[in-house]
Amino acid sequence: MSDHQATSQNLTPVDAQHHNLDVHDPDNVTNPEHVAHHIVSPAVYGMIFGVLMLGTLLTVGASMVNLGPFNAPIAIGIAVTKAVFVVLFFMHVKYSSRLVKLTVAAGFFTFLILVFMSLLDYVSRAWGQW
Amino acid sequence: MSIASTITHPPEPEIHPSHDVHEHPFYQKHHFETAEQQREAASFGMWLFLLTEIMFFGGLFFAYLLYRNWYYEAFVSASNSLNMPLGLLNTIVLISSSFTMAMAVHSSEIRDLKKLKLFLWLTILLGFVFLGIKTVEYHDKFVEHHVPGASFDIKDFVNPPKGSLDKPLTVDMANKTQIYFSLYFAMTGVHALHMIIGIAILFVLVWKARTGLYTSGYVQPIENFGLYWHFVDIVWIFLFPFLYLINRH
Repeated sequence: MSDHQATSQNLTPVDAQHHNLDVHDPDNVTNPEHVAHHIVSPAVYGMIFGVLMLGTLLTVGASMVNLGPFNAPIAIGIAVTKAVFVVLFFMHVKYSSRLVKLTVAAGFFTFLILVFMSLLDYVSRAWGQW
Repeated sequence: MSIASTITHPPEPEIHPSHDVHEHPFYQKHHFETAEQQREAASFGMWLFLLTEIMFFGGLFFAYLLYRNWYYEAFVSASNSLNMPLGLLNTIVLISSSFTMAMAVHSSEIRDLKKLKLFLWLTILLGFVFLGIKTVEYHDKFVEHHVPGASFDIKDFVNPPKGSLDKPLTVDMANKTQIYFSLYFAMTGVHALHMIIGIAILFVLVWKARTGLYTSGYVQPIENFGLYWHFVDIVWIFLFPFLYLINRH
């Protein structure tokens, strides 16, 4: 047993079967979040750029047509779509680890909760009656 | 050992056995096991910062949502007084700068210093173009007395200029356009401040990149700055339709 004890002289901690137990050895780091690094190609960036330009022209065009109550939702919809493309491709979230994906999603979700709850307060007050 | 000698002769630091054993890239800090892990931690941290930015801009967007609902006529008239073609041009400029920044990250990944410098400079240039156009727009608002405060003038909204499709507003509603312009200056101003800070950081990155620091595998600072720059782009993607395009028909 004492043969394999880690000491300041005998450098690598191992178990009785000589398996490397050193948690600081990169060979032992088996974190599933360490996804293979992905380099996004310029062609993809170019395509996203095209989509964003199209969305910009579309949102200007849509604002010039009278669509009654639908003007605002359409403007928001186009902006959200553009933002999603930026986040997924320019900001590489599509190719990121689940940790980053979850962080981004949780952030936007939290923001929506705050908006939703503030709006609940706004619409449920007896305006002008207190 | 006396206390004094402990201070003057501290014990040898305990160097972990693995420290000298494995090779690691020059940019990897000692508290990370792998360069991958360091990169992951940096992205994670940057995103946490950007989430605080979402909350920061989010408060302004929410204020906008409520006041627009409340004083819709004032918001429409005030929005239509903005120079939409310049806003559209600025949107195109900013999206282009996001593209050049994405290409800068790519150049850093493929370790091409010439391209990296080119795209960083292009991003700086487009950033300045955006701020220049914004300055023209701000100047117009000052000339038209559309800046909230003592010299604010409601005449353009009570008596719309000839050829304007906008309905004349009552004096009371016309005064509410100041709320729109307060939000306009607050939101575009804070956005422009982010761009000014971004351009300053870009200059630092261009300077530090010249010796090849970011073209030898060390992509992280370029990548994280890219995240920041794209975030500022996203804010503008929402600001443009919300401020310029409320009702253009």
